[in-house]
Amino acid sequence: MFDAYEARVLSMRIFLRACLALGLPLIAFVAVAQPVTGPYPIDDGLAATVVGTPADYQAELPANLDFEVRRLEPLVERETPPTLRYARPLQYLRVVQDEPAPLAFVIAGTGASALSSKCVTLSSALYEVGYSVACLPSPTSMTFMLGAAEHPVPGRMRSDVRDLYRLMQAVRDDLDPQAQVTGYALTGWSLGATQAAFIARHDETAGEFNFSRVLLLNPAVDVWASVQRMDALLAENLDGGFDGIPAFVARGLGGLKQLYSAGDPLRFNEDFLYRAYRTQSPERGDIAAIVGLAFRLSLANMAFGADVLTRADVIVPKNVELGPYDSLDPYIRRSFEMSFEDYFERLLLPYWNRDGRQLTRDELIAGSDLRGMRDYLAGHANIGVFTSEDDPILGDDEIAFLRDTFGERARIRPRGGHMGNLGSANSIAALQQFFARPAP
Amino acid sequence: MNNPNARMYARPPCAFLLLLCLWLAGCASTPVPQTVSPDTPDEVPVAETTANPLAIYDPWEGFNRRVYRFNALADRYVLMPVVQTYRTITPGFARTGVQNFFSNLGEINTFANSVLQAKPTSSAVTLSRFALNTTVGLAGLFDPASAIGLEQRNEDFGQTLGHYGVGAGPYLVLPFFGPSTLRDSIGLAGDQGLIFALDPLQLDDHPWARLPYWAMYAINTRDSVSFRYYQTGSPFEYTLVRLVYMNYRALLIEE
Repeated sequence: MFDAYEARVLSMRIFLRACLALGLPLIAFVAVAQPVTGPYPIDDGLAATVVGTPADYQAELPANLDFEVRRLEPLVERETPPTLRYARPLQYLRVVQDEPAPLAFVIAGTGASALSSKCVTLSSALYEVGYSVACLPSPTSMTFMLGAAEHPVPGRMRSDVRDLYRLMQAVRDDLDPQAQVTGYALTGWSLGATQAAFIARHDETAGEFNFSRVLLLNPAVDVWASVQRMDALLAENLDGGFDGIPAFVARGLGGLKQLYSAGDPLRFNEDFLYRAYRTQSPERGDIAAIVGLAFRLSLANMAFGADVLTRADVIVPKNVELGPYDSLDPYIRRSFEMSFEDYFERLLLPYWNRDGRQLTRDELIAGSDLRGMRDYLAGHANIGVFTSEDDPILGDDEIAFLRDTFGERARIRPRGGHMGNLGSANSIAALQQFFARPAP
Repeated sequence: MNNPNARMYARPPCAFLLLLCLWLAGCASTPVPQTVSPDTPDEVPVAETTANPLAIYDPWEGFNRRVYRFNALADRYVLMPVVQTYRTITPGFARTGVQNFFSNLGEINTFANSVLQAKPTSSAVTLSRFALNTTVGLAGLFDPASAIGLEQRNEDFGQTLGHYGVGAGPYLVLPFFGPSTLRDSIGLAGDQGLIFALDPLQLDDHPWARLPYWAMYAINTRDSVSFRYYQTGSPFEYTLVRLVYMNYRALLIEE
């Protein structure tokens, strides 16, 4: 017994000494390492979108903040179909300052829930400059469709924005009564950025928040045009379409395995993809297919959810009652093979015309185009935009629109892809500067 | 209902794993594993054998989906809270040490299976790694072997069986362990049996140590894996995980 005790003490001592010897230089190294502030290094917009920000370029953000995953009571009355119950409950991510502080809302991009890593990055950056932050799921995510969407077929901007606005009020009411909110700010990325612009305009009349500043991060200008570009990426770059996915995954894993044998197998770090990109120089078409597939997966999820929730009879036959453990194999092909065009024609438009309304295709498309609110965007000094010239969701005319409309409130970098440079020291510094300035 | 103590950690985003698996498609030509049921008649073209090319032979899908759900709930309410507490109270280097320690114990299985598959390089590298890390690496807490270029191998009894032509069998989701197949489950039992029989930590002589050992084993295993249930947000997550698992195992075996 004594021996065992002594052995443990001894091994503990050896362990601690070794930790000290090995740990101290490590801490010293971390302390001197500064993020690189040079221009974002990846010169291909699609690759930047997939790879993100290489570790050397990443902003240093406060770690170990007291993030809370808050759960709200559903804002709409709706039976959860058993096959979608994994997406319950309605969650958002929150981090609150101890002192009185302004509250910033962050709206997630297409398909993303509030647990997305971008939520964590943006919330940490905003927290650092004095904001309490609430990151909200996208109206295109299943959790939002189930718990917050009055009309669970996302895509009509007006209705999605109203749902978001109601969720924001619920989030405000969810704060502790002692927490003093001194004002409101708003940001969002991708589709969430476009929605943020519409929310800001809606707030002009509804008047609940009076946002001191609003920042659009890589917004879609014409949502319809952007999603068509994503559809085209997949159609042009994935051989065999849906049937080609298994082969594509197998090839991708083959590349992954080569990296396994080239380094540290289990401990991926942020640099992993960048290293892979640099060393393996994958074909551009494959990168395009990855971007297209990621988008298509979000769309397939959304289409399946919308179909099941409204019993649209497009993917799952009306007379089929899916149980919680039923195989979805028969419906995966139908979901994945839906382009946005199909979604629009077979789910979105029929839903809004289900009771004989005459909502046209053109009205729906025009309703989610930032160019329709040009004067509002140009005339409000508290709204800014960050994006990249090589963002694959934008066309040149849309970049030009943003530049003209926002003037010096637009930060348009030559590189960065779609959100690829979001985590970089430069972008985060610019974002923090935007939110830290006194309100105009 | 609310959980004010739930902490979030920066970790790979939901799409990350999937993207990772789709990544670098141009780099290797590897065979596509069997994705259709073996009882499909030969004359049917592969593209028409099933409504879903992502499907894998999964006759026990109903059972598997129940276990998947059970794992997700166990993960959310038991494992992850424990792991998050562990991450809060343990400095990063100590967690790395624990990871190295269990990883070093795992070399015993890798070595045994390298020998069984008659792979001399893998056997030699693994044996050297184990010898070096157990001594210089202080009972495996550090990993000097990787630092001098002895890269870790990945072999297990499931792969050995596959190496000698045993088919994967039906897809199987194991409680706590997650995705597997009938063959890989037998392999897992074999590997665990070997560790039990060899008893490298001499737990037989110190029965009190069993509980902390298994607790740390479970915590470390969960800590090392970045996957979070339902984080893809997809109703098809079960199918996607199944596809990636089967492809990944097929690649490991083919190696």
